[in-house]
Amino acid sequence: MVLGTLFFELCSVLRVEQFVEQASKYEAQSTKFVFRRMILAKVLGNVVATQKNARYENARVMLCEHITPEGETTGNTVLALDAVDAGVGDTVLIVQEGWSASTVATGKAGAAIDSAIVGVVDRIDLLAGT
Amino acid sequence: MQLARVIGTVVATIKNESLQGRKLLVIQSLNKDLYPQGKPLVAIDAAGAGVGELVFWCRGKEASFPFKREDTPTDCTIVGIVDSDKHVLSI
Repeated sequence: MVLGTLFFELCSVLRVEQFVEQASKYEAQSTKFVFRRMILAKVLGNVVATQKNARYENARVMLCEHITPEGETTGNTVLALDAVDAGVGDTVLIVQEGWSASTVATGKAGAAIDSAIVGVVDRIDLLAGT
Repeated sequence: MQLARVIGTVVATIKNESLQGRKLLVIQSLNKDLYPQGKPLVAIDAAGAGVGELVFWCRGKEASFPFKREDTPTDCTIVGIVDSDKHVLSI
């Protein structure tokens, strides 16, 4: 009886561990392209595309890499339209909401744009010990 | 937007009527070194892309904006073709 209960508990613990393992795996995969609303990023370069949607004319498409507030890169990249003349190596603020991105990058809402650079970051102050 | 490589096409005869005449492509998202990252996706083409080309795609509600009918059901649309692999200028 006691052995049976122990066995049952062991099984449920194993099941939970398996689930946690699966969940963490899933999370690792799904966070690769998590789109945040407003992110900090570093500009890596620009992307030259001659043939593109008409609303992208006269706008530079910048390749950016997402960073943490501490300045560490995360490896996730995003393309964003440049609205503030950011340069390579700059830390920038990217908005990832269609209406804002389209308005700021093309002057008019309703373009197929999901990310735009809206600011160049001078510095980030963080509370010590956080 | 994200960089991606077009790796195939999708043929679907029966689909929503607002998708009639639209080209469906299979794309693989890439990282900054142009290596595959994440899973392949199906995207609607708004730029005239073909298999093997380096493109960038737009996600979400904005993905349906290039089409005349804004009710085109898509959340992934190819909006531009990168001139060549060398035109991704990284430091």
